[in-house]
Formats: sequence, structure tokens, C-alpha cells
Amino acid sequence: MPREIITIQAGQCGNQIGQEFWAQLCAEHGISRDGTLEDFASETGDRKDVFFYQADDEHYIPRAILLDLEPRVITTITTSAYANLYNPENIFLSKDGGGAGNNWSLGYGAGERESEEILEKLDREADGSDSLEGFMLLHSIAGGTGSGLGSYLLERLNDRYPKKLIQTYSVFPNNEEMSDVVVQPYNSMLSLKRLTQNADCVVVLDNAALTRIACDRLHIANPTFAQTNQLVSTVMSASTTTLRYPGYMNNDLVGMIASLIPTPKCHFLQTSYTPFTSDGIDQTKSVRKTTVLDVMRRLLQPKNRMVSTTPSKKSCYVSILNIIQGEADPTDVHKSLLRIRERRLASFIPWGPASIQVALTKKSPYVQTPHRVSGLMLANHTSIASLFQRTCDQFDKLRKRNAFLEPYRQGSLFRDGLEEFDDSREVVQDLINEYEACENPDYVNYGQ
Amino acid sequence: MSSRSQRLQRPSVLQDNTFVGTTTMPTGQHSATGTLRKHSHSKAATTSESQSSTKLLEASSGRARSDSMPARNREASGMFADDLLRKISSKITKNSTVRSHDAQYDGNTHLRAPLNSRVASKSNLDAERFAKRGEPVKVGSLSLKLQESAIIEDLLFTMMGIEGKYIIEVGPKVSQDKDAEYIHKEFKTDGSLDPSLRDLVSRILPLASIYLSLEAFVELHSRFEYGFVSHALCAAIRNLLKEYLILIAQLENQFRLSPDFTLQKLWYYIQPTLQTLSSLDVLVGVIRVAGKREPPKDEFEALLQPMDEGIPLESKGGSILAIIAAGMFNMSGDPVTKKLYGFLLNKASVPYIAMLESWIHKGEIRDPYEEFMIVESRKVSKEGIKEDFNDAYWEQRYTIRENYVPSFLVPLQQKILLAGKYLNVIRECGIHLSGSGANQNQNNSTTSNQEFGTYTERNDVLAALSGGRLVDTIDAAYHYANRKLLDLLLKDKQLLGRLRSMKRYFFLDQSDFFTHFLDLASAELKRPWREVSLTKLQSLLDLVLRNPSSVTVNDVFKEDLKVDMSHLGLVDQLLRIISIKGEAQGQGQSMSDRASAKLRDFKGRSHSRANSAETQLQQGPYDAWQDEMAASMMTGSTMEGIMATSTELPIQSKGSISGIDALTLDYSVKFPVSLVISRKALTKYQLLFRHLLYLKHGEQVLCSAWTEHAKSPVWKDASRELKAWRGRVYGLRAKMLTFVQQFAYYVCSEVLEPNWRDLASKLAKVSTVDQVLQIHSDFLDTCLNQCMLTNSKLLRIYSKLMSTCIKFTNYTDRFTRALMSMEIQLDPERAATAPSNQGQQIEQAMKRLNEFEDSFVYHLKLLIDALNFYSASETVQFLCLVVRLDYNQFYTNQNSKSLALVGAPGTQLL
Repeated sequence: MPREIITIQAGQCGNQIGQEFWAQLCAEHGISRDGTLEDFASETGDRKDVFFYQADDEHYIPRAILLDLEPRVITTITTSAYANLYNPENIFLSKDGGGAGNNWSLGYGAGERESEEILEKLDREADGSDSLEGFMLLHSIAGGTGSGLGSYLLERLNDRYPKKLIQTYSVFPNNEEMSDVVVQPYNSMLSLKRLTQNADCVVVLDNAALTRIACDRLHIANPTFAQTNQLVSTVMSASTTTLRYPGYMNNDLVGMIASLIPTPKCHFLQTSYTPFTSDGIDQTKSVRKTTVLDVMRRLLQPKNRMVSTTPSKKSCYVSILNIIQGEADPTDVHKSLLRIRERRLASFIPWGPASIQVALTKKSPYVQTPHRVSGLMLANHTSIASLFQRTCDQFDKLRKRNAFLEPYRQGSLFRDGLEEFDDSREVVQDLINEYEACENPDYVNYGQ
Repeated sequence: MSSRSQRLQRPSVLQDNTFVGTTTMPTGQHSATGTLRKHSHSKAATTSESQSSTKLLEASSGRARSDSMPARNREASGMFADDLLRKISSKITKNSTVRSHDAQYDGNTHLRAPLNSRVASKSNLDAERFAKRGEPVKVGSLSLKLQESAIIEDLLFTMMGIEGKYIIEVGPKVSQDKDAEYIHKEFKTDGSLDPSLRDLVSRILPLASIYLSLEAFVELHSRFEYGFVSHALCAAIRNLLKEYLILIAQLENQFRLSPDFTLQKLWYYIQPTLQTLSSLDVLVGVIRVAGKREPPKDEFEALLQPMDEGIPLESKGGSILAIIAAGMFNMSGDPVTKKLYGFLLNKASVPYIAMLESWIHKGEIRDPYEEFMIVESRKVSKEGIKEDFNDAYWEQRYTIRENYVPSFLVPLQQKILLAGKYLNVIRECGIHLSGSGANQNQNNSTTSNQEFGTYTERNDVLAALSGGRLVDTIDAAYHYANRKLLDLLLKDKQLLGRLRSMKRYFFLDQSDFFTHFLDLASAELKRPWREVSLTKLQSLLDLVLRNPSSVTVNDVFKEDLKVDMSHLGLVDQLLRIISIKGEAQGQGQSMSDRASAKLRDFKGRSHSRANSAETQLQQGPYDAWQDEMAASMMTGSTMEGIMATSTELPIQSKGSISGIDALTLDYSVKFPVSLVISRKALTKYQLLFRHLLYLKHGEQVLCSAWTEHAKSPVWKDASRELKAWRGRVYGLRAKMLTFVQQFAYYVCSEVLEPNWRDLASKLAKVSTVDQVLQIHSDFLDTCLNQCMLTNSKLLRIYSKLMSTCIKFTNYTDRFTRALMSMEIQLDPERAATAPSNQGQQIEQAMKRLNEFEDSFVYHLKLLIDALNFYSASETVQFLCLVVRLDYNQFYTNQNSKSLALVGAPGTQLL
């Protein structure tokens, strides 16, 4: 009922993450695979209605809209055990089924073409909620559908729901090694512009970091997408715990985001999570001691960060929100805060007050973990700019050669020229500059 | 039987007869009285008379001869003694109550004495003799033998308080007024009596005065208004007096029958009795004196003491027992007296013990004469607990009569008080004590009653001085009552569940319902509080609470939650509480004037920084003192101020506050949970709730400002030239949000939650109900203190900060408009056509922003300093808040920088 969030999953990556996310939510709320409440889930204290609503037969339906231009992933979902969970009306598949072919332009174009049908679904979901808080978009920015269609949606959502929050979970490509998709930098750049301008909060997930975490932390030699997606779903479910298991604070999305994002432009968040355990990836070697301090300390370690950034000496945190799940003693929080400050484990912006917010939440009673306490960090860190810089560098390399531009010209945006590319480049450069300025004490007067 | 053996054995007999012999005597007494009555009429009586007189003699040897009559008598009487005693004493009681209506003690009282037939005939005889001889013969003129028998005859009368021929009353007359103090009568013998006889007589004579004194005491103190204990004591004394009369009768019998009965013998027989009666008289004297009220020392005290109070508490009930016990203790070296006092204590305490047992086993007080150690004030009713803030049902409904508790019960008085109090609560709840418990009680009381009936029982009371059976009974009763009430509260009434639901609603530990409520009711709450429709709010709240997806839906107590409006803002109310407390400490009216002046001053919309700094400086030390006072009082959990303030002071400074500031919750609880969650506790909960609400509201409006800043195109797409200005607005908003959120975090996770956990763990281990009350009230006080709601200075800074935040958010729209105007101004073409007031608008916005920035940062630094300062005196917890508010030491660094800047020119000058 109150403060609902509608999830939009676009493209292959988005739908895969989404699938894992809903599976995780169902497990945590004691909802069975077909949406009915499990018998053991009589215990309350959770709010299912932020992400689910109930059908006439009382079974829970996710507030989710599944979008894709090719049927492969969606078919996997509709034939999986969770097939009956989703509202079939909310699944959109392009009629031609050809996909976007890793072309942002095609995805965007498909969005324009099918906008009526997609927006009809969105409107229906929005009307079904009492006080809609916002939208959550799951996508990757490298491919075609997630980035192109996603970008189109971001623009339209802003027009249509100017007061609603738009949060995205955006998977960034592994830009440390060249991928099989050569136009990846183009797609990323074009998506980044929309993320900068039209989203309110972007949780950056980086395939490179996800792979690294799967290798280092979980000791999987060659992690599959399913395994890394599970990492993502864990992070997503953790970042929404305060909404689903209400506590004293952070019971609405805006409250969380507003404190994390003091200046609206710098709204790219990175996440850390510790310790990782879930069904597919519970091969962690040993159960470690998890006190609040341990968890908070580990969250600050770069190796647990789900984004590969290269922080400079000046890089600093704009804000931090730690969500601690499980049996944590509130008095430990203060000690941990003090310890972290003493040890200078985190440096903060010099132009304003900033601190680590710690939200203590309950753990789902239905999901057993070997750890007493687990934690998620949502942080706004200026080193994220280095990620954008890398994207820019790769983009520049391609753009200089004007390579692989031909497919893009088919799209309506590029029919009259390729200014959109340069425009996007400029927007992203602005963003990078803003982040760099953010490291200076006179940031408040930035722009003069 | 030789007189020799009599001599040797008699004393013990007499002793036996007088005190130990209460069990044996009644039969003797009974028959003796009977014979005495018959005596004048029938000759046959002589045989029985002689029987009874020989009994006295035989009794001595009777112990050896187990087959003898008296011995059997004694055995038989041992069995029925109690019965008989009770019958007799009840008769006497009736008599005495009837007699007590005779307003005076007159000389004729003796006419009703057992020997009155004799006396009457005797005095007739005397009268005849006087008539014959004209005037009394000087006793000295008689022969020594005759002198002796004459004086014995006289003595026998005098010992019953009747003037004889040669012994006359010389002492002061007894006042006709019974309430006046009793003065011992004196008797004097004829001067012509033989000196040897006179000496003996003078030794015996005190007995007469004592007898009269005791008689008078019994007469007076067995009146109903002296109460049960007094009555029981009088009955016991009357029994003793009866024995004394029997002794006299026996002596007279001896005197008549035995030719060798001499004054010496009389003296010999009477000695132990004299001792007994005189120690009795001492006791009676003490009781008499205790009853005398000291005249008020001055007029003021006289005014304070109500004139008509009936019988002073000092001479009845527990006080009497205390006096006897004290006497017993003092006389512990004197076994006879000790035994006597023990007997009296035993008898007198019977009604008291009955009261005590009805109290500790049933929680009832049957105390029409105000004798019992516990006093019940009926005007304190349990209903008040929910309504009246200052209601002190728990403290005042039942109280101990300090100073009137029998000394041997003093160590147990708390237990006794609590045992009954607890049971009383259970009874008030309409719960009958369950079968097993009641039975157990019954068993307890019957066993102890049985013991009281036996000989060892006296030791029981004796032992009460050093602990014993009574202690066990009280202990058992106390534990039973305590467990019972604790179970009632914790299990039947689910106290912990109640507290948990209070925590949910007042501390918002799962605040989703409340966020939703604020969403729904935001329009209503923006209106002035007088115009807010409570019904509407209530229905909205109910809607939210009953939402099936809300976590509150399973709370069984959600029906008890009500929306309410307070007519004072939180800070105003708290400041008033604090200032009133200062006043209570004797600061007088001027202080409260000052406080309210400060209040008004403080409420003034925007006063310049310099001004406020000045007032701060000026009031600094004075405030600190006041604050300490208030804090100490707050922790002392007396908050009488609240009710007083809200009724006495009309709303003066602020015309009307908006609904959101006035919003509060109310929670209805029933007895006996209302003992714990009383109005006082509830008020504290409300204060904490409103504190949280204020923070939540601040957070919410700042978040909506953030939404505006983040989403509206005006802000998003601001021109490059305006970015700096925009940045300042963003920065200030971020600072405010950080402050509000960190404060809320602090309140929730560093004050409320840890303290609540502490409370819950303490309640799990709690063993008495009073502990429950104490723990709960400590919990609330700690929370209030750590939320810095008890310190007026901190509170004022805090309120200033919050109001700056809220005013800032109210200005969001104006800032947006100003930004739009600026955009227009930037464009020369559009600027030309723009309305002329635009420049002014921009200027105003600039000015406002400066004001907000200055005021906020200034006050925040002030708050941090103040928190650092008060963390030493009030609670260390403040340091946690400081850490949170300035985690990256932004403000500290700013301070040191500005200090460095200030310091630099100074050093240059040097």
C-alpha cells in the first residue's frame, strides 16, 4: 500500500538479475514460487506490499514489468518454477523478437516504437499503487535492450512521473578487458548520459568487480552470469531491507537516497557487501566472526566493493549508508564508528558534514545464514569518476576512428548526425568534473 | 497441713494464680464469685466457701497430689480456660460498654463490684455502729489484737478502693472529666494506729491506689473509640483485676475463718500481687502518658493540628503494642514482669494480628478505629491514574502509619505494606484469589491462630521481637502476593507486550505505519491545531493500523491508540516543565517570569545572531544552575509541573501551532497495567514521541525539498552562472538533512533501543512489582535525559536548529521562484520584460539564504559545544551525538580555521 516501488527489468541482463531478485525476495518473505504464502510464514514484521501486491486469490504478485526484445530470457522465466509468480500482462516481448543486437540505437528505437504498450503497462501498475514512491530499473548499460530501451524509459518516466523517484541498478561492462561486444563503449556512453540526466540514483554494479569478488571471495574460478547475478540480487535485496523490514529509520526510499546524494548530480552509488553466502555460492571456506565492527570495517575495504574504481589520493566519501542485518547490538555501532574514525579508514568530503549512517534491520526469519550479522554499504564515493573516465577513454578510442558507427545511424536519434555521441561525451565529462570538484573544500561554490 | 509448709509454698501459688494461673484461675474465680454472691443468703455456702479457701491452700500441695480436686480442676480448666475467659470477657465487655455511657467514674462503682453485697451490709452495719456510738472510735484506743482485726477489715475494703473506718482517702479527687489525666488517689491511716501495724498498712496501701488507677484505666480505655487493641488489653487487665478481687475474697475468707490470720499474713499473701499490679500500673501509666498530646508549641502548629481528632493514635492500636513490647524488652531482667507483659501483649495483639492477617492474606483493612499500621486513603482512586498526571495511587493509596507501627513489626513493615498492597491490586481487578492460594492462606492463618491459642504462642509474640513464626507468615504472604501480582501484570495483563506496543507507537520502532499516516494526514496536519479534525485523524490512523500489510496489524493493543492534540509545542511544553521545576526549587516568581520572557524572546521569529549570542552569554551561568536543578528533579521523577502548566498558563506566546506540532498520541490502559503506564509515564512517552515526530517531520520536509531540488527542471538545468548559488542551497539542505537524520539515528539507535533492551532484560529478571515500576520509570527518565529533553539550554538550541530547518523547507518554493527569476535576469532580452519586483525577490532570497546558513551553522556549532560541555555533567551519551553530528569533523575544522584567522592578526599586533 504505501510507498510502493515498481521494478522495471529491461534486457537480458536486467531480466536475469530480476529473476534472481524476485527469487530472493520470495525466499525472504516466505512466498512460494507461485506467489502463495508459505505455511511457515505466519510471522509478521515485514512489509510485502512495497514490492508485491495481492491478487484476488490472495497470492502475491511482484510489482514488476519485464521487458525484452528477444524471447530467450523471458521464456526461461516463463518456463521456470516462478512462471506463475509474475503477472503475464506485465511481460513485454517485442513482436519481431529479433532483439537489439547490442545496438543502443535499436533498443532506443524499439522503445519509441512500442512506447504506447510499455507505458500502458507502467500506468496500470502505477495506478494500482496507493502512493507510488518510485521506479527501480534493472539493466545493463553495455548491451542493446537494457541500455537503449532503458535509456528511452528513463526519459519517458521523468516526463510522465516528474515527482517519482527513479532508481536504477545498472550493470557496467567489464572494461578492463575488451569484450566481445565492440560497441560497448558507445552503448555505455549513451546510457550514461540518460543515467546522469534522468535517473535520481544509480547503483553502479560492475561486471569486472563482480567477477573479481566471485573469484577472490567465493573462490569460483570462472564465475557464470548466474553466479554473479546472484551477487547482484543479494545486494539488491539487502539495499531494500529497510523498506521491507521497517525499523526506526529509512523506511522510505527518498529518505535513504536524499542523505546519500547531497548534490543531485552526484548520484552514482557503489556498494559493498559482506559476507557473501547464498545457495549457489556458499562455498565460502569458513564462517568468520561477524561483529558490527568487523562488518563495517570489511565494508570499507576495496576488495569487497562491487565496482572497480581506481581511487586517487583525493578521493573521498560523500556519504555512506550501512545497512546491518541480523542480531546487532546497537551499542556496538557507536564503538565501530569511533574506531573507524580513529583509524581513518574512511575519508570524507571536506565541504560539509558527512558521516556513516548505520541502519540496523532484521534478518528474514526464513533464510538461514551461517553469519550472525551481514552488512551492505551504499556509498557515494568520488572515485566512481574513474570508472566513467575509463568508459570515456574507450569511447574516445572508438570515436576517434569513427569505428562501428554505421548501425547507429539507423536510429531516429542519429539520422541527422552523430551529435548525440558528442553530447553524451560532454555530459559525462561534466559529471566527471563535478565529482572531481566534489573533492575540494570549496565545492559548495563550484561553478563560479 | 502445717503453717510452715504453707509459708514455704504459698508464694509460688500466688504467683501462679496471678499470671500463669490465668488458666487455672477462672474456675476458681467462677466458683468464688458464685460463693461470694450466695454467702449472705445461705449457710450452705460456707462449705463451698471453705472449699474454695482450702483450695487456695491445697493448691500449694496440689501439685504433688495429682488426684486432688484442684489439680483436676486445673487440668480441666486448662482445656476450657480459653472458652471461659472469652465468655467472661465478652460479658465484661458488654458491661463495660454499657457502663461506659455513665459519663463519670463515681464512688458508687464499687457497688457493682463482686463483693458489693458484703459491702452494703457492712456499711449498714457501720452506720448502725456509728449511730450507736455517735462518732468513730479512735483505733488507737483499742487493744492491739482488736486494732489489727479492725485494720485488716478496713484494709480489705480499701484494697478494693473503698474508704474504711480508719483508712481514709486523702489524695486528690478524681476529676469528673474522663479525658483528663488520672491522678492517683492516696490513702491515709488513722494516726492513732499502732506504729508497727501502721507501717505494714502503709506498705499495703499503694495497692488500693493502683487498683483504683487500673480500674479507671479499664473503665476509660475499654470504650469503643479506643479501639480493638485497647479493648483487648483492658479485657486482659480486667481479668487480672478479677483475680485480684478473688484474692481479696479469699483473704477475707481466711480472715473470717482462720483465727491466726494476721496482718503479717495478709502482707505476705499480697506481696506478689502488689508487684504484679504495680508493674501493670506502670504500663498503664505509660499508655496514659503516650495518649497525652503535647500542647502545640506555637500558634502555627496549633493551626496545623486539627483540633478534634478523637483518641490520639499514640494511645491505641499499634502504639499500645509497641509500648507493651518495649516494656517487655526493658523488663527482660525481671521474669515475672516480663511474663506479665508477655501475657498482655499476647492478649492485646489478638485483634491486631487478626487485622494484620486479613491485610496480608486478603488485602483488606478492617480498621474502624485507626489502629492498624497501614492506612488507606479512599479518596485516591485507581481511576485517577489514567486521567490525572499527578495521581499517586501507588504511593498514596496505602501508606504506613509511621511511628505507630509496633516496634517488633518495624523491620517487616515494608513487606507487610507491599503484601497487602499487591493483593489489593489483584482484588481491585476483580480477580478472586485463586483456590489454592486462598487455601494456602487459610492454612497459614489457621495454623498461626492455633499457635496463638497455645502456651507457646506467647513466646511467639515474644519471638516476634527477634523473628519467628510471625515473620515466616508475613514472608510467605509477601512472596505469595508479590508473585501473584507479578504474574498478573506480566502474564495475564501482558505488561511486556503492552510496553512493546507502546514502543511501537510512541518510539516508532517500526515506523512504516507512521510514515504512511503522515502521508495521508499531511493536508490535515498543516492546518492550525484548533481546526484539525481529530475524528478524521483518528479514522486515518485506524485505517493505517488496520492495513493488513502493515506490521501493526497483528498488534492486539492497537485499539487503545488514540490521536490527540496538545495545545503546546513540544519545546514550549518542555521548557515550561523545566522552568516550573526551577520555580518549585524556590526560585520564585521572578524566575518563571524570566523563563517565559525568554520563551517569548526565543520564539520571536528571527532575531539576529548577535542578539541571541548576547542572551546566551547573559543567561549562561544562571541557566546552567537551573538546568542542573531541573535535571536532578527530572531524574527524581517528579514532574508535577506538567499538569499545572497546561492548566494555569493560558496560551500566550504563540497564537496557534500547526497540527503537526500539536499532534500527539494517547494510549488507554486499564488497571492494573495503568500502575505501570500511568498518566505520568504516558506523558513521558508522549514527550519522546513528539520529539521523534518533530525529527521525522523535519526529515520528511527536507526530503521533499531534496525531491524538488533533484527533480524539478529549474534546479536541474540551472545555468552555469547560477550553479554556485544552487550549490549553496544544496549544501545547506544537505547539512540540515545530515543533522536531522543523525539526530534521529542517535535517538533511535543509541538512546531508545539500547535502553529498551536494557529494560526488557531487567524486566525478565524482576522479582517485585515495585521494581517493575522503578525500572520502568528509570527507563523513561534516562531516555528523556539522553534525548536531551531535560536540559533547557540544549533544548533551546535544538529547537532553534529544527525551526531553522523547517523554515528553510518552507522557503523552498520561494528559492525555486528566485532561481527562475535569476535565469530570466541572466537573459538580457527577457530581463527587460520581467516584472520589476524580480530584483527585489532575488535579493530577498539571497538575504534569507544567508540568514539560514548563518543561523544554522552557528547554532549547530553551539549545540556541539554545549553537548561536549554537558556530557560531563549530564550524560556521556551526548558524546555519541557529537560524534554523529560531526563525524568528519567538518565543524571542528571550520572552527579551528576561523580561530586561526582570528588569531593571526592578533599575533601580528604583538
